[in-house]
Formats: sequence, C-alpha cells, structure tokens
Amino acid sequence: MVGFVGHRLGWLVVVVLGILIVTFTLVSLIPGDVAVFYAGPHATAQSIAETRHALGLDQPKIVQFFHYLWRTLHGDFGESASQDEPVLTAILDRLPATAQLAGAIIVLEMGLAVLLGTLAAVHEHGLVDRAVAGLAALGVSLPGFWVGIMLLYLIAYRLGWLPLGGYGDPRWQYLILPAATQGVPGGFWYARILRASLRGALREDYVRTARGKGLRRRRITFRHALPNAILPVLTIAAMDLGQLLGGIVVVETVFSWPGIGLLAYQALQNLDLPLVVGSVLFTGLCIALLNILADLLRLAIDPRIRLS
Amino acid sequence: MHQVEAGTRVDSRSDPGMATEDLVLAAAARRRGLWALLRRKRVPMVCLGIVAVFGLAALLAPILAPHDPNFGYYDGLTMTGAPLGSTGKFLLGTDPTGRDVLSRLLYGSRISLTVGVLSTALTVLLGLSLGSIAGYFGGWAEIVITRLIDIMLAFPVVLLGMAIAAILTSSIATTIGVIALTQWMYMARVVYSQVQTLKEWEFVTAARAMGIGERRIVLRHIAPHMLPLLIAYSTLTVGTSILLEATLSYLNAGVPKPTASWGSMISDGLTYYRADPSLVLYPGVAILVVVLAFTLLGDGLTAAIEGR
Repeated sequence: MVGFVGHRLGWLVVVVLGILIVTFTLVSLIPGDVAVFYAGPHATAQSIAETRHALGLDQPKIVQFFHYLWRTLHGDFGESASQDEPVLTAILDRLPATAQLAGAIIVLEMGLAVLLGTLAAVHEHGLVDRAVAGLAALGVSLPGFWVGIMLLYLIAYRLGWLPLGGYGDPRWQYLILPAATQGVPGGFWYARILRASLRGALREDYVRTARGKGLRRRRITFRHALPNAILPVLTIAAMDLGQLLGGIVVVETVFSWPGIGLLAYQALQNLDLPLVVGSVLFTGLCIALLNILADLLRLAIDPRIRLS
Repeated sequence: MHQVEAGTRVDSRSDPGMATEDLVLAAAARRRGLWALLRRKRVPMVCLGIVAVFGLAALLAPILAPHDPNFGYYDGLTMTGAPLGSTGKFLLGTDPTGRDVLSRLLYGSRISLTVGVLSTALTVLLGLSLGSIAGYFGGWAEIVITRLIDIMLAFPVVLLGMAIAAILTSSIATTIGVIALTQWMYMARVVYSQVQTLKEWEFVTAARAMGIGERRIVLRHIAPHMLPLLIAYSTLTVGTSILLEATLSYLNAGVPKPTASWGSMISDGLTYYRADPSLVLYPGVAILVVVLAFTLLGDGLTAAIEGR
C-alpha cells in the first residue's frame, strides 16, 4: 500500500512538472515583447533593457523556466491584464461556482449511470438495455453548447420554468439546466460502461456462490456485484476529468455561470493571455490532484490494491 | 469521451468476457470480411449513407449553394434589421447580418469535413507512431511516452484549445493542429496496448529469429493487424474532431470568421435566437446528425471486428 501511494505521488510530481513545461511553453509563445509592455509607452531603449533584466527575460530559457516553476509553486500565476488583479486571485474567486457545477454534474452522471446501467445489465435485452447503447452514442455526439442553448430557449424562455442563466438564489434553480446539459448525456455514456462492467461482474464466481447460498437477486446485484463493477467506471471517470472540465467551460459560457470557464472565455475575448494560460495551468493542476484523490478512493474501496 | 471506451474495449476491461488476445485474433481473422460483416447491419449502413451525403454536400457546396455564404444581402434583413425567416430567395432564412443560412450550412460542411478528416489523419500519425514506439520498444521510450500521455490528459481539452488559439493566430490549420494535439493520446493508448499484445506473438518471434529488422517487423508484421481497429477508431475520432471544431469555433477559438463553420453559425445566431431559434437549431442539428453518424458507424465497425 505504501508502495502504491509512493508510486502515485511520484506520478504526481512528473505530471505537475509536465503541466508546467506545457504552460511555460505557451507563455513563451505569447507574441510581443513582454519587456516593452512592462516598461511602458515612453520607455527608452535603456529602460527596456533594464526592465528585461529585472524580469529575468535576458536569462537562458531553462533558467527562466526554473524561475517560473518557483513562482508558480509559490502561488504566483502572474498578473491578469483585464481584471487588474493577480491571476490566481481571479481564478480562486470563481472556483466555488465551478466546483458546485462540477459536483452537480458528477452526481447526475453517476446517478444516471448506476440507475440505467444496473437496469440494463440486470434485464438483458430489455428496453433499457437496448436503449443504453444508442443513448450513449447520442450522449457523446451532442454538442454541449447547442443543447444548453436549446434548453435555455425551450425551458427557460418559452416555458419560463427556470431562470435564463446566471447565478442567483435559490441556487438550485439556476443549477438545474447547466448541470443537466452536461450531466444527462454524460450519464448515458457511463451507463454503457457500467452495464458492460456489471454484466462481467455478474458472471463471476462469487456471484454464483452468493446465488448458491440462496441470497436474493437484488442483494447479490447491489451488495456483491455493483461495488466491483463501479471500480472501472471510477477509473474511467477519473481519466475523463479533462473532458469533464472542458465541457464545463462550454456550459458556463452558455449559461453565464460565473466559474473558471466563463472567466477564461472572457479573458480570451479580452486577449488577456496570462489569465487564459493561468486557467489552463490551474485546471491542469486540479485534474492531476483529483486523479490522485480518485486513486486514494479506489484504495479505500478496493482492498486488493491495499493488500498487493 | 468515447475514446476512453474504445480504449478500454481494447484492453478488454469493459467486456471482461473477451481477452485481448482473442480480440486481436478476431480482428485479424475478420480483416478482409469487415465490409461483408458491416453490409448486413442496418444502423451502420444508414450512417454510411449520411456520411456520404455529408461528403457530397461538402464537395458540391459551390454548385449547390444558392448564394455567396459570406455576403450580407440588403434584402436579407427586414426593415428593422432583423434576420428573415424562410423565404423564396432564402430557403432557410438569413442570419443577423443578412447572409443566407442554407449556403452557410453547405459551406460549413466543408470546414467540418476538412478539419474532421485532416485532424484525424494527424491524430493517427501521432498516435500510431508514439503508441507503437512505446509498445514495441518499451524501456525509456515507453516511460517517456506514457508520462506524456498522462500529462496531456490532465488538460481540459477545450481550455487548452482556447489558450493555443489565443496565442497563435487562429486559422483552419491551427484548429486542425489543436484538435490533433488534444486527441492523439487516446489513439496512442489504443495502439500501445495492441502492440504490447502483438509483439509477444509467435509470428513476431519467428520474424525476429529470421533476422528481420525491427522497423520492418513493426511496419509489415504488426501494423497490418491493427488496421481494422484503426479504421473503426479513426471513424470515431472524425466525429469527435468535428464536434471539437464546432465547439472551438463557437467559442471564437476555432475557424476564424467570416468563414462559415457550424459552430460559429450558432454563436452568430445567438443575438436573435429567442426571436428565431432556427438560427441555432439548423447548424446544431447538422452537427448532431453528422457526429452521430460517425459515432454509430465507428461503433458498428468495432462491433463487426469483435464479432458481435
């Protein structure tokens, strides 16, 4: 178990370093001379050179990278050009909204997956089973931004049942449509994965044993097979975190949900590149950390990992 | 999301009844009969038809389109400057700048097809080469490439795409590059696990015993066995890429305006969608139908390979 945790922490270090290399490359690719920008419009050639030296821009790239690494690990993500505040402050301000939305989407996805996936696996060739494969294909083919706009039009604008986007009170009313836009298609997708995984689990020897003991079918499904079948779904969901957050960016823009995605979108429209790259860096680091959390969760659920 | 599913199918996690070796064997056995197997299935054939219609629309757009897709017509707006509904001259109406929606839809299919196919080609190139190097040679190459995959998977696809588009000048070529850069990992993972299995086979050992060079073994003995799966997988990737292009263009981070892209048509229509939802409806349906066709076709091909 110590070996597993150590191995995963080593992985985290490598991935974080890699993420920083990628974002550092992005920052270096930003066109224009940063020193000219910081020195101001009336700078002389000498003051530009001094600014360049003060910012460390005359150093070799590798030295600059270590400065960047040092600053980033100390929470200095640079200054936002459009928000007039540090990039990290701007992002952390928006984190709660994104976390709420992400939480709601994950709950919806996993709830739907367990419900539909279990029904499909237990009633083989039943109505749900036949629908799940098609729904999963539909789920990955739906353009999220379009679904969001159509839901806004139909449910919020025409029927007037829910607010037209934004972030007011009571919060759940504002949360339903954005969460459904991404959570329902995602739920269809994971239902398909859970169905396959659960059907495999139901063929295992321990299920036959349980059946032989005379346990009821429902108990076998929910207590014996499902916990085992959920593990691969959890692994895949952890690998999909990048897709999840990418989708949230889109949904936030459609529904004006004031999270990190909307912040990045507005930064893009304002050409506030430090903020755009900063949000890529921040979400990348979050995903790496969440992956480790998912591993620890698996460790807690699955004694086989703990004992090996 | 469906890349992960296809990937897991290959390492047989989602279908525990079938071992990887069986899968590869089945794939090899069915290599020549892929078309014969597919021909008898209804859904994939309908999808193939849709893809063909879409390809023809893209090819013949200059002939089929009734108007110039980028010209704002004076008579394309009402007296108050609102877009027109369906009229004799503009069959599907006009957009908020008086451009013909039908012509833009037709020209938009060119962008979708070009970006979808070219970015998939680039994805296959990257995924195939990196995946086979990691799978066949192992050692340091394997460690570096698998870590690179992990690092790239930690980024939210859409956000990274937005950052790259903001830093580089946005163009069709940039969009293709961005999509391939955020999709190759899934392909590489599939190839990696396939090659790992294939290289343990007797015919590879035999080839090596005969003194055949490593490069020739990979290209002539291993690669042909992966062909059916690559075809199925590339079909899925074309769908994903089209969806990603639409999403990026919707966020102003894809194909630059005024070029007609289905995604940017939706963002252009946003100002008037409450009065005229068809501005958002038509391009969205186009995206959905085409992406769904590629997804179901890819699923059908995978099923045919696996012998389901």
